[in-house]
Amino acid sequence: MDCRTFERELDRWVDPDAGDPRREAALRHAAGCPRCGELLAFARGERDLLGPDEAETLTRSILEATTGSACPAIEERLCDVVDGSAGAEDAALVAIHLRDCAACRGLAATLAALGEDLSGLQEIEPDPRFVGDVLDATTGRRSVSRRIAAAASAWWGRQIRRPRFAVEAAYALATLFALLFGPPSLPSLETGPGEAGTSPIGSIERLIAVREIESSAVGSTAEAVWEATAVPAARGAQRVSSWGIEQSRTVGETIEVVRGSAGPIAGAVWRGDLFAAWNEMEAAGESIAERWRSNPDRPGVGRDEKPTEPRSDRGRNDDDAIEDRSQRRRQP
Amino acid sequence: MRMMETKTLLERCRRGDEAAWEALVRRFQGRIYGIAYCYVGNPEEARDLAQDIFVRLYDRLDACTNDETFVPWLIRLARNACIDRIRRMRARPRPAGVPVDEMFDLPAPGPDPEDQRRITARRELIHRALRRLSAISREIILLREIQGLSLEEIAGTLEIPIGTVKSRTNRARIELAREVTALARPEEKEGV
Repeated sequence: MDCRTFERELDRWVDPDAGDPRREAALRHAAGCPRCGELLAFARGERDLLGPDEAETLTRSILEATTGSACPAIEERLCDVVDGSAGAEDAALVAIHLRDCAACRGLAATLAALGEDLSGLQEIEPDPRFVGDVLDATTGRRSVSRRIAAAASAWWGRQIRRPRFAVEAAYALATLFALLFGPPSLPSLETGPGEAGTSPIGSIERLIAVREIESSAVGSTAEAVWEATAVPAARGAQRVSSWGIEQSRTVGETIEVVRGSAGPIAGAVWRGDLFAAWNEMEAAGESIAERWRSNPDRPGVGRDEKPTEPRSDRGRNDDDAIEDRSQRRRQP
Repeated sequence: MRMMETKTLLERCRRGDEAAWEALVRRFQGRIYGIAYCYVGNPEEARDLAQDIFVRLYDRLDACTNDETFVPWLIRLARNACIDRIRRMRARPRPAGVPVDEMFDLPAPGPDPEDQRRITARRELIHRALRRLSAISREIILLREIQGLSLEEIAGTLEIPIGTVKSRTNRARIELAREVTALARPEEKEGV
């Protein structure tokens, strides 16, 4: 067999189990011919001329010329392979690719690490005060002011979300404006009724003048109310105070009379002189009665009942009246 | 001490048991705060939002008709509150000079300070990467990968088909992995 025939039928000599009768002759030729022997070894895959980098470069260039990079196809299966849920064939294909593709190898490693990292992010504990703040905001341990503020805020939030809120707000503002400045058709205060209104500045000046009038009227009214109520009340209080002083004085004098007469009365009784004891008691009683008769505010005296003594202090100052009574007490 | 089942806690809460309510708050505060933080990315805002979520839960305890599915229901409630808050935040102009992605210390377990620092840094990196995702990818990651909801529960929450959830989940994970890798590279160069 010659080299041309050997090369032409090379595919027949690759399979060692092929039952071709000329196979023996072909193998003898390959054993004797270095070139054909090397060719047969390459065809059988028993030799490889490409180094790892050269193989990678060749593979890429072939893929670029045909289907493009296989990385996108590998990425679609990468997650399942990392999770261990991929089929055996897919896992094998991914493994082949990862052997030579550093980028996908890095991606697979990152995916594997992220699995644990992400599960660690499931819970992040907030600061220790968080639970207390949540409980305050929910189970009602809030202060009254915060509850009111929260309720007011919630109410206001509901109001402004109502569709009619804008219309109602505009109406309220327009009404307020009209009350403050008045519509143009109303008569002004200075020019009188039936006449045209003035500018907003004039309306403000009229408003200020009206307020001044009103405040002076309020002041006069307040003063009149004071004269009608507070002054009589103060005078009445003073009279009550004077009455109390007077009553206590008369009671004190009564007690002194009783003390003063108790001794003589007891002595007369001891001596057996009942007539003297009776005289003493009569004198003490008369003395006490005299003091109470001279008290114009003594209990039992009606308003319309005239006092037993002329009350020269009527219509005078209460302090003067008190002094007059004191002078009468001091007289024998 | 045997932990009371969530179903029992819920029943007691509906009867006005304040101790049960406190226990429920403590059980889920970490999860709710974590969800809020994933959405708003700011610890103070997340705290306020988490509190708002619990107030909503308190007002709507009777709305959860099936206690067996309380956790997905709660997460849906939280998600709706987070979305509402984000809409309001977007309507509010941010004050100048305040960084949107400002990170504060997130509490991390680990007795070793070096471990704690490493875990905290890792969490911050992941949160930064999450905020760079699209809104739907971030939600998918949050519901599926972080909170562990099933595909059916996520489909019900987001109102999308289950097949879409599955495909979007893988896509979102790849997207997140790429963002984490991209963010990690400058830090590796800086020796962080």
